[in-house]
Amino acid sequence: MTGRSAPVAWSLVQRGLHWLGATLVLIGFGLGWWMVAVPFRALLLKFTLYQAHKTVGLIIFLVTLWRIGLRCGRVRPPWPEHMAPRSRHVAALVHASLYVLLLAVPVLGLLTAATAPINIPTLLFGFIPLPHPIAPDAARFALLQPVHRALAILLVALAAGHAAMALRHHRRGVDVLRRMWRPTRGDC
Amino acid sequence: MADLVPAAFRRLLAFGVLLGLMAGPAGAQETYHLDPAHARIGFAVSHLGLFQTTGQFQRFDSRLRIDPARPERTEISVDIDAASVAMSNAEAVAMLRSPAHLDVAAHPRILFRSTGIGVLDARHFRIQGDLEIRGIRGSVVLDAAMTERHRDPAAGADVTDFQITGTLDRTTYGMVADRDFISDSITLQISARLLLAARHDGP
Repeated sequence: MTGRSAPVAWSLVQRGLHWLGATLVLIGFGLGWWMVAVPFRALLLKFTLYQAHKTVGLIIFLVTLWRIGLRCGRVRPPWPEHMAPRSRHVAALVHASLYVLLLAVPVLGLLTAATAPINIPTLLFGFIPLPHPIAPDAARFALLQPVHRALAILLVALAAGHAAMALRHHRRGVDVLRRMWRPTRGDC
Repeated sequence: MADLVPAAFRRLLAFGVLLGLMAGPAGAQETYHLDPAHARIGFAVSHLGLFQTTGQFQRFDSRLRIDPARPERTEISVDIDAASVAMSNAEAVAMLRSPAHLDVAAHPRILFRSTGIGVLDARHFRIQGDLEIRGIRGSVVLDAAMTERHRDPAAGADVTDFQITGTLDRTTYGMVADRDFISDSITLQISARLLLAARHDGP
């Protein structure tokens, strides 16, 4: 934006947030399936898992906002040299979709929690209340819960595809993975 | 007259007058059923001291037996269909019906029989009674607050509403499951409406 040349790699903060976000998505996804599978007989465990899942979701949302801020404020490292324009467009679309989903899924999750008729509050780390923006409503819950679930599955599927492509590029000697992990040349 | 009549007797008299207004022919014991459309037997429990969840029983029969000549001998009995427990979550209801909690298969009825009614003032009463849950009997004390007698156009008669509150310890009745998440103390939130005799103007 200021006429700087493109950096050769992502910054330390960008790399850290990328892997933090990826880890949290996997943890949050796992918690989501576990928490609904736990029966009512194990109430305390179920409650704890739900609160942990919601806490992870909020952190993902905040990390993503931060990442988008960094992404908008910096010139990105260049596309690999021999990557066709069509491939670049697809990659850019996937990346943009990931950012959108990383925001949408937590928002839908909060709305799902808010509309759940059982009306259990959201307590981050088990004790910090996060206000619910809307009231319990069985009809809205019946709509929001499957959408949250479906988009979470889509997010993980896209992330898996994104990771698979990164590995594919890496094996072909393209440095996209290296510059998100530990660049050999200094970062900017 | 206020100076001559002791306060306690005055209160009892007020209750008796109320019941007299409610009763039909003088002298007979009258049995009243509470209006199910306006009756609610609800409960609330606390979780980790952080929040509450609530529920109610949807099917019950209640009887109020009054002897206007002896208002202190008023008897209240409630027969609750334990399986009619309702909460906003189906899994929670299934859990409450299970043997670990209400055990509705073995104990389909929750019973309450009052053993005494104390008059605190013209609109506040204390109801003592025996409560039977899961075949185990315990005693409870309920506080009843009565609203003013008012006309309900829909019913075409005068009514009075009661808000009844109390607490019980579920472990008294053998319900000890999930103590790490569900409080022992259950708060009762009961509302009831009594249909009174139509107000007569004149002598």
